[in-house]
Amino acid sequence: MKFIHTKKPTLVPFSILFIALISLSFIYLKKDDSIEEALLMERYENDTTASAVIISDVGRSFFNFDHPAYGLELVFERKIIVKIFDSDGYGWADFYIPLYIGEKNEEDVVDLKGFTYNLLDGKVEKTKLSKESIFEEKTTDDYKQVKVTMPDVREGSVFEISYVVSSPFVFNLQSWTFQKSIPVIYSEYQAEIPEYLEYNKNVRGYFPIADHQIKERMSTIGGKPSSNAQHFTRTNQSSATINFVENVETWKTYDIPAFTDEPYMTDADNFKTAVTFELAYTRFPNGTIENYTTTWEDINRKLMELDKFGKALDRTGFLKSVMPVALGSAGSEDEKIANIYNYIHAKLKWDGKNSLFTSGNLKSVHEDGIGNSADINLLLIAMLREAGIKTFPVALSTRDHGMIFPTNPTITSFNYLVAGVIRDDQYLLIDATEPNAPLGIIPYRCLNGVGRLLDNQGGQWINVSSKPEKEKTIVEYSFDLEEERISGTHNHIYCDQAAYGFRNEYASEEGSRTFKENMEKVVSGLGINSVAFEKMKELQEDPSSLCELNLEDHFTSTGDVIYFNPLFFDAMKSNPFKLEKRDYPVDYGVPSDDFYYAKINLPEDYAVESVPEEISIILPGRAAEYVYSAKVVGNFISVRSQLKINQTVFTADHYADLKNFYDLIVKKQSEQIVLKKV
Amino acid sequence: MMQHLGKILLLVLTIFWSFAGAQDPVAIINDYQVDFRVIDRTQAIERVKKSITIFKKDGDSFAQPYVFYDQFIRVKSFECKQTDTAGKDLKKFRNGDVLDESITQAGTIYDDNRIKYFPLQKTTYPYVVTYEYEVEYNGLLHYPRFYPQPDFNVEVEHSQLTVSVPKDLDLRYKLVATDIQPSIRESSEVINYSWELNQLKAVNEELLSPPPGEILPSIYLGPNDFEYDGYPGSLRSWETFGDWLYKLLPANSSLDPREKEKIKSIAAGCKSTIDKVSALYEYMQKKTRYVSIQLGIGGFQPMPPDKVSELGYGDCKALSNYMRTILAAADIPAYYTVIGAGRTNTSFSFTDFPNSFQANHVILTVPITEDTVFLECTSQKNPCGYLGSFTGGRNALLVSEDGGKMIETTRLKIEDYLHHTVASYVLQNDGSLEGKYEKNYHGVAHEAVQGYDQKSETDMRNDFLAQINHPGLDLKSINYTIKEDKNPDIEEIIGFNIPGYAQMSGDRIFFNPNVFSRWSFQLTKNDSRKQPIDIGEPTYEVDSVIFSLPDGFLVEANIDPVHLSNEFGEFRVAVENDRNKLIFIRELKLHKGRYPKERYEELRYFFKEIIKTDKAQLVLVQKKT
Repeated sequence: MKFIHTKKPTLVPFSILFIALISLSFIYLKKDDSIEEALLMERYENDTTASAVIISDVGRSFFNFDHPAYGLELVFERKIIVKIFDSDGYGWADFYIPLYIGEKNEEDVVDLKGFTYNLLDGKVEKTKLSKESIFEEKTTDDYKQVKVTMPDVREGSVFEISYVVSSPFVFNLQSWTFQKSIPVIYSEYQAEIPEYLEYNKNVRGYFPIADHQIKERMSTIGGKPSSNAQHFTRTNQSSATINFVENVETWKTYDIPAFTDEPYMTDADNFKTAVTFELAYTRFPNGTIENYTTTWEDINRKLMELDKFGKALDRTGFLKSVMPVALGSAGSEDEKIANIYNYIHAKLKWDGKNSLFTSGNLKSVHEDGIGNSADINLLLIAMLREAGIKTFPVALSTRDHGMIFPTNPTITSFNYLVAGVIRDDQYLLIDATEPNAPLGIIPYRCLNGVGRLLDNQGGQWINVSSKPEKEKTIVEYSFDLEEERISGTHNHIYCDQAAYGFRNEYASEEGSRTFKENMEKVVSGLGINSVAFEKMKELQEDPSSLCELNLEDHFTSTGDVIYFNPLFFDAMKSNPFKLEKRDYPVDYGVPSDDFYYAKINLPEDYAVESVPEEISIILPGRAAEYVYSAKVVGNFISVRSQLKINQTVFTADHYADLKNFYDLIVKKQSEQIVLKKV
Repeated sequence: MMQHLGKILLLVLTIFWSFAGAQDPVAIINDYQVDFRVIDRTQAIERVKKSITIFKKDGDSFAQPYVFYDQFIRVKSFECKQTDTAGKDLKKFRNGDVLDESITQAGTIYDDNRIKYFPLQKTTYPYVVTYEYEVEYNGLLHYPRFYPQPDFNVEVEHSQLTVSVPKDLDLRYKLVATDIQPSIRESSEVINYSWELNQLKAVNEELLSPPPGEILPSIYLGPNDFEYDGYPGSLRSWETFGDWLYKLLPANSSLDPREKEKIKSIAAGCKSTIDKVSALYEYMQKKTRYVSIQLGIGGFQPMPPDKVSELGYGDCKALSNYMRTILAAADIPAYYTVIGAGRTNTSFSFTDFPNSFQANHVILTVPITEDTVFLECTSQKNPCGYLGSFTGGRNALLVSEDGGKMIETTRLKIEDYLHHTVASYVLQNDGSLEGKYEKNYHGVAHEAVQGYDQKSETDMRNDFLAQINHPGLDLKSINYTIKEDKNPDIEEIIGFNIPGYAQMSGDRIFFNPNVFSRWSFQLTKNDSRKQPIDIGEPTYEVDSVIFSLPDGFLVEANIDPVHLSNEFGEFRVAVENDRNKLIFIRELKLHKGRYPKERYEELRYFFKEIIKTDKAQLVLVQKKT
């Protein structure tokens, strides 16, 4: 063990993840007096608590047709200037440049320079970044990175870094993230793209881009004997030149605030202001158009022609002998679907990988009994089709893969597919990867807005939604005043999404013991005498847990008064929304319905003094609703509480309502019933 | 509804278990063999073979085949297969399937630590992974540690460690949680040692278990004489190991003369030695930042002080040695001190087994007549002399021209963990509670709120609110102030209003006088506790709160005073009523310590009573007129 430990982890604010790396930033200033100005800055006036600020971050991508080794070269230049205010900002002085490694070539940093500026007795002191502070490291087979640590960085320092990345990969046009975890005063990106290359651009984020310009200009290739642009038909005169149009597009932002993560958010990169590119096609003067992607219809066609996607659905001769076994005696279409679904569950294991493409061919997937999500769901589609059921693949993007932007057609938008069965103009979506999910339940990871149903007509967008996450809790409790406890039964029924979650957690042999242990760990004073699970194996039905239990310290008795909370441990303990204000939407993924009913038997000689008032709260458009009532019925009290979230996405302007809604619920659920001795 | 309930109770139960007995293991290691052959001081070969059956998800991590390497370790072979329990291949791995990645940790800018591993196929349980590898060491500072049971809930059928050492070298070993002695065989050139550990039953994790490394069997191996990156040394004693480390320190007097002048002038401006140390520590903190670069002997040898001064950064070794050089320029002797850092680190607990693996960090020891000062040189924020939970109260190896010497850093007392709250609240007759509290976080406790005074108001508010469970709490004001710099103390002042804090019910008001200091950690019942109880960190909380009650209300039912005192600690709550005022006093002390398992029920009862008291409510009743 080397003595390499580290200061406290809380003081190390940077991440080594690639995605984060790409967003790391840097500068551009025209005159040296701007550096002096930055050195004199005490704080950033728009955010006086920022530990560092990016003064400017300027990038430019362009093409060079004369690269000696690979001809067409994609060049990315960047300059970043950062001001450090205090030691929490030191993490910005260590930064990373990720570089892609291909089969034959790789990206390289060709011109890396850096300077740190400090103000010493009113004079600017400049320290140069030297080789000993630059490291290159191969991180995985596909990536390497250049790491730089700036010299002589102190509180108040300003540093600038500039570098050039030379890339042989025209598909890898650098994306640009304008927003960072610290404020960015000025950010600019320029892409200079010759008419021979076409990219689909996607601009996203909540903070708008202040200035966007597109210009055309004429450029010239060649004229030098070393010119090696093999894409161009040339006469033998090596000094010939070719004129072409170049599209110059520029984006600028000013004073972008720091990005902060918020809970209940899908991938943070969906919300940071950024521009990304995907190569659509190339069309060089001497050649034909080489398409990459263009429209969703083209993507549809292209996917259906790929061996590892659409074509795999045609090579299904082996199913002839499989189908009778899978279908059994199924008669109706519903029975056929159910039997095929069950057959796949029994026969195939999911290897845990999300994929849009098969790993091999469906025949060998079927033989091996194991596969990625595409293997399993394509086989499902093939079998449904074989049984005469009209089924199409539905391509989608999982929640951690980011949103699909319909205005920006790219194959990489997708990373998953499920089966879409067409029935009377409706779609039944089926995913067969989860052994504990009943037919028709789409796993939570796939609930990310829309999916693309891929057919022979170019496809269409459909909503990927799921049945609500529904839970019912029904309890009956009685007081045992002598033992100072409450005893009774607690029955919890899990429906649809909730059922699948419950089975995932507790379907194993030891499930009920784990369940007991987990409950007892969380609830103080709870003793579970027995637990029974029901319908755990019957996937099409709702499973439940039934406990016989004792509760200590869940009521208080002083003199002849007893008071207790009728929701006991089922009460919501705290509001999930703690932030006072929010910038990004709350995304639940799935609607929910949580129902609680309690029958509480009155102890002998006691009468009800007071019960909490009944309430009913409904958010506009029935986006969410809550009802609570407690009533005395003869010798027992009946309590009902039901929370329904009907809408899955709440935009930031509805955040205050939603937070307030939960506040009222938590408060209501903490209220007590008072009993008094007769 | 009644009928509905009846039906549910009558349902036929399809699954039913009793809860007696231990948890089943998550994995069984069927066979595990480690063969370690020392060739000479610098070279050795290690061969590892393992076959493991995984029964559930929690066991997956134990199946992962991996091997770490760096410039001194060469991976000669690495093979793996994954099968079901019948031996049918789930996945045959080929050489090309090995992934090779850097494992440089966050906070380190560069080192050469890498990992090779096979990505296992996700599949259903149980499954079996069998793998073997061979590595060659060129540079030996420490020998492998053998711990067949990697964690709780893993069973071992058969495991064996064999070691061969040339006769001109010695092998030292240390046994933890086992007393199994090796069988020893001598040949003409080497001595062979062999340990077999079979049928090791899975040990279940329990609440407040000691760390697995202390209760599961381990065999630690170590050389007497070694050579690492061309630097020969000896681990015969702490003294000799310290000698090796001392000789790696770069020459002392290489600072730029101008910097030396500056140092001297700073020192000249201070009266006492401690003031000088403090001023120079601040000088160093301002001038540098922590950057870790580890390569070869650079894992143990600090970067020269003039280089640190020039670049303005360094790792723990470089910064500590730089500080040592600064103090030397002011004629204050200080010592480079190797230590294990981290809240749970066992830093050199094997005092009888000199080693390097029980350390990962370096600090500086400055002996001053009144009191020894320890300096954490990687922090830009710590007050001078503050170690806290990172390196406080543990063994450390002080390195000097006389070699190494075992010392102990400043001990942490329970007072170093004090949270002290003083408050005054007003309960309104609509049930809302309004008021202000001042809470002081002392010593180690202050680490939880370190740097809060520099946070933005929004972050301050959000971080505070994220921990509070009072619905509708309106945070009126929030402020953090550093009260005492040398012995840290951060004061948190919170002004708030909680609408509906108390529940109104007819003539009565119910409310809990403990608003923010409720204990929630409870122990589950366990009649067959297996392991001793380990309380790793103390707790110390003192609260005194004055409540003003709404007009016209009297206390109908007060909370009975509680005073529990035992070896684990002390808990005291008293609520006194004086006309329309209530005074709530609470004190909780829980000592760090290790206790026999027989006392588990006693501790459980203690926690239970604390929880019960902390959620008790008072009843107020309206005066009859």
